[in-house]
Amino acid sequence: MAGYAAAVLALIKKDLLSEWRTREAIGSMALFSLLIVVVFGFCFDARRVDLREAAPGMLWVAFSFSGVLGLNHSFATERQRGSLQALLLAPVDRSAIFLGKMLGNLLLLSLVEALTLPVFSILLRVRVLPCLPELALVTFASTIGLTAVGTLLAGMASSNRMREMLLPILLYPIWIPVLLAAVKATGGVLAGETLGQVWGWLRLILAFDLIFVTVGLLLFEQILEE
Amino acid sequence: MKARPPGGPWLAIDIAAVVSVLAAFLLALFYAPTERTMGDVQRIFYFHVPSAMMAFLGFVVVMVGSIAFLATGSRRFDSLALAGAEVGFLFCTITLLTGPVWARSAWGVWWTWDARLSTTLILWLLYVAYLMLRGYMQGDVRMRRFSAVLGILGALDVPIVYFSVRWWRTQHPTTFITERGGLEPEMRATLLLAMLAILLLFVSLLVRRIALERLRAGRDLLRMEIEEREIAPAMGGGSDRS
Amino acid sequence: MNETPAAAQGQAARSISESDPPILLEVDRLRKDYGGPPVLRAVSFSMRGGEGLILLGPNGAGKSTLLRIVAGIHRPSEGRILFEGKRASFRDPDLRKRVGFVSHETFLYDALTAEENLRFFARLHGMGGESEAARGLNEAGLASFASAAVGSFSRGMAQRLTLARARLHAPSLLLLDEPFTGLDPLAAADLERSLIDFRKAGGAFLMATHDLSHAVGLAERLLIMRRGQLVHEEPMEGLTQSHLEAVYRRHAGIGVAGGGG
Repeated sequence: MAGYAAAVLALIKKDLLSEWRTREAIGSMALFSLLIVVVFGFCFDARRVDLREAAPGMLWVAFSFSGVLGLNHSFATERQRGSLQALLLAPVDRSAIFLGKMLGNLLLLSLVEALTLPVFSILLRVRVLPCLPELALVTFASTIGLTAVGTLLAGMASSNRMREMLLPILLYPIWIPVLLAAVKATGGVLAGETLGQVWGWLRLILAFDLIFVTVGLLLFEQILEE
Repeated sequence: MKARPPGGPWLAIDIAAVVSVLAAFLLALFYAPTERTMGDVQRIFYFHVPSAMMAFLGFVVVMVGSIAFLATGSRRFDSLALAGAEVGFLFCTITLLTGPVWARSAWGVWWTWDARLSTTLILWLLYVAYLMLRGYMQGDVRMRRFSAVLGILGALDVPIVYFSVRWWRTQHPTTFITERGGLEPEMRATLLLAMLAILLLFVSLLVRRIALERLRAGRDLLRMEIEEREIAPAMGGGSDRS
Repeated sequence: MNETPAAAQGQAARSISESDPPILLEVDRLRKDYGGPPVLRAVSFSMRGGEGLILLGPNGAGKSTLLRIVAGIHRPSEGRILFEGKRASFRDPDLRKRVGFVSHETFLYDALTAEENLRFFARLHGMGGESEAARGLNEAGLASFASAAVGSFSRGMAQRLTLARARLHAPSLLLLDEPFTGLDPLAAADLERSLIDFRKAGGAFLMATHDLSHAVGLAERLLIMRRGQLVHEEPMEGLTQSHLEAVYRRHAGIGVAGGGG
């Protein structure tokens, strides 16, 4: 058990350290996220459409698009020198590799989300501070679901030449329920609702998380195995 | 292993499928009464509903085949999953094409974001994802395993999609049971026949598709045997010591 | 033709085999197929503790696959592996604790330093990280490059670090897949020296190579593979390189690299 936790932690530290060193992923992810918010800000004329209605949707489009970038990148680093095989050499259950990768992706995407929120708040004139704890909870819970499915599918797509095109095609249909719930819950929270009021959506998000983290733990070794 | 086209009972199903589909067509066009509000366009309903059911049944087949393949490694189950995906995709496409036509006549809009239609749309996207993954991974030894994983993920996702959209809104005529309750006897008979016909068609296509995969597997096996025979004499059989 | 350190140390390599240590690894009718023509067909052999084995064969012979199955990266379709007498299954992490794997790919992270790389792999193997990494760097002669990013390393340095990575958890068996690929003569000599040191410490290795000049003197036995089958086994004692080439040509049917030092 201790070996398992140590391996997971080692993997997370390695991914974060690598990211800190190169800052490849976080820079592009944050910038991309910001760009989407800006583009939406331009596209939706504030006089004709109530931006606040569309705001949660825009936010999650930004998060999910940059999430795809990050997920692709997290396996690109393993592909560089074949180190994905080296991970297989670790004397630990293969699900540890999934968990390590997923948590690394979760932390990175959460960081990007945290960086995006202030910009989002200012540009789209949405007040985020009053509901910050609830918003953070909803966002984090949803991001768990996104990265659980994302890590599994990114592992699959990364072995293919068409990985950049293939990954979104695989991800988005499966992401739809958690994205829908995230958007609705975010909208509710931003409108001042309590967690109890958005519980229907939150419950869906948590169910999604539970199911797909479990499936990821069980099936990831099928992706690694040859 | 010899692969031959399915005979006997399967041929009977093929014939039954063709006959019943033709019969259902005739009933739907001439026997069933014209619907009061929607007119003749409503007749497409008799094929829309069964197609929708087959679209979902297809993914059940994909899931069963995928799980069985991962558990046993037997290529037969992968063939089952692939056949389920292709046939299910066909019926899902039919559902999405006939649905809006009927929706237009029933509610005046081509599309509504209700639970059933939305789930069918996502189902269609999942089929596309599955088939594209297989397409992109042709020649890769991991294709079958990766498809199986995707098949399981998709199958788990479909009910979640349904519940999430249903929590969001409902506009489609509620459940099938009440639908049937509100149908005139001629309509009900036609619908039942159409359901049977489409089910037979589904099974028939599924079996044929699996048979095609078996033929391919048989061909691959034969190729292997030919290669083995080419290698064996050159090897001199087994290892030798100097 | 220069005499390689391996040839000079040939005497030492041969004397180890005389003491007859217990069987370390037994491979029994290993088969691997991907649903198509088998890549490995019924491969069986065994090796003793501290023994050095060379695996020769043309491309596609299945050498890499065999090594990767023993390393625990691939799952065999049929057959079994026995390590120190006990059955080792694909899922079983115990085998991976005793075995190290070196490929021509480094498996390292270019963005991280040498020390960080070793620390990471040490932790993956359940060790603290700091002390093992430091020791590994010292043994590889890379202590002064501890804080340099691996991306800046030459091929020879990277291979030395890779070997250090593989030896972090003190394996009793090293698996090497064409480790001399792309190494200049100095780096190749380094690798040979490291392997000899590893042997002296009691380690066994199974190495797939194309290059016979490095095989001579390093190992006791030779296995030749072709099209997924083990076609020939021969002790390497007293074999010259030209004899080796003849044996190889006879059984694998193809010419071989490795003329000159």
